Amino acid sequence: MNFLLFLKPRLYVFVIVIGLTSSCITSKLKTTEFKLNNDISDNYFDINNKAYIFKSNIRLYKNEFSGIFVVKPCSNNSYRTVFLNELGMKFFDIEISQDNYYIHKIFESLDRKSIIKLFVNDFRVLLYNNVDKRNSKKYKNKKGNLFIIKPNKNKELYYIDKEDELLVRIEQYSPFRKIRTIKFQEFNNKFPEKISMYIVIILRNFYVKKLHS
Amino acid sequence: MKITILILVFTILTPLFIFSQPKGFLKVKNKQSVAQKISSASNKIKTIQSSFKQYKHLDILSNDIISEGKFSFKTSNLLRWQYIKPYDYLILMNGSNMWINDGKKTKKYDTGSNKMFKEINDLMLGLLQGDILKSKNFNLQLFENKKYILAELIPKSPEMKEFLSSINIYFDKLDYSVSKVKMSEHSGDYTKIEFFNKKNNISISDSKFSIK
Repeated sequence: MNFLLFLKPRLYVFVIVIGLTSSCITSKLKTTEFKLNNDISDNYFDINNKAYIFKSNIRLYKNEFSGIFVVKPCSNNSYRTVFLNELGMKFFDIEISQDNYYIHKIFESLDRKSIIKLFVNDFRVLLYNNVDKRNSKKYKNKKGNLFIIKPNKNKELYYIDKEDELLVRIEQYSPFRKIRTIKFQEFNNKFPEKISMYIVIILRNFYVKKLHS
Repeated sequence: MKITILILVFTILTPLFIFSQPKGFLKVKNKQSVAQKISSASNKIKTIQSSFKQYKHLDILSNDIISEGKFSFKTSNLLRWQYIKPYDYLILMNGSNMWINDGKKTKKYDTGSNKMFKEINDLMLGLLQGDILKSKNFNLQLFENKKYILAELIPKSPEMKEFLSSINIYFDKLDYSVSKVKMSEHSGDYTKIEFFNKKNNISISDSKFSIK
């Protein structure tokens, strides 16, 4: 079966960029009254689905990898996340659940606690992005085209498009700054065919020198 | 008592010997002569142009990830490996230089100072030329059936062992050229590449193997 057909029908794009610049602190939000037409939206990565396959680019500071990123939902409510290069070489295969993870395989140079923690946190925000749109307090954005949900206990902001009520952006904050942004773009049948992730590294001693050695 | 132990050991070990032999293949008896035939056939090949189909098998997926492309090779170290499906991706190898174009931009790497790319470079050139059979980095076993000579290579180097548990190269008995390659991982996942529309010793310009 052709890869393209398997993707039904388009190739998804997944981009992770990890940089060292800092960002602004969460600005004050103004509440809005907004009534939803649709029911509470499900997670994009339906646990009952077969698999999601992306053309992928991962930029870790100065190092850049391209390849194929696979997300496979598992029966125990976890996800297998696999990254391969075009030649089929497997760089990592990590199984992630909401409160645990298991490394099936990781390339030696990536096998560092700080890098694994980064991937696990990224993919958790990406994969477990269920947000109670109906019952959460909603805030306005400046342009008025999006509304924002800030679940009480979480450190994330969820940006929802007002028109089609789809999740288009997640921002994650530390007490002082924005640390992670995920953008969902180019929707087809309410699924984002392009996903970009930008992670701000706060740790100055983040070590990625050996990635290509 | 000794005989009982011997029978027991024999019973346990026999299936292991049977399973170490690929299904449908028998061990080559005259290993040196066959290796020589492959070597002399590859020595005659100065250029190759071929299409390929790559199957990435992951146990977690019900369908293999299939990509397609074409490659050009010119002795001794020029390779243009190009994916055209499901998206454009080009790898050029020219001596110690390696270029990768991901469809948007081109990046140049020096395989001399980059161990991982050097391994990829040596592996791909060695596979296509059949030179890999002479490599000291692998343990070699040869098998055959009516159509193919199968070279089973078990990596010795830690760098290669990290990615692969074995490489199976299928040489067509008609011309001793590489017909397909299967690279297996310890997990049971594998990458299989099949070559077709092969043209040997046609004229290929050097300019095809570099990006200015």
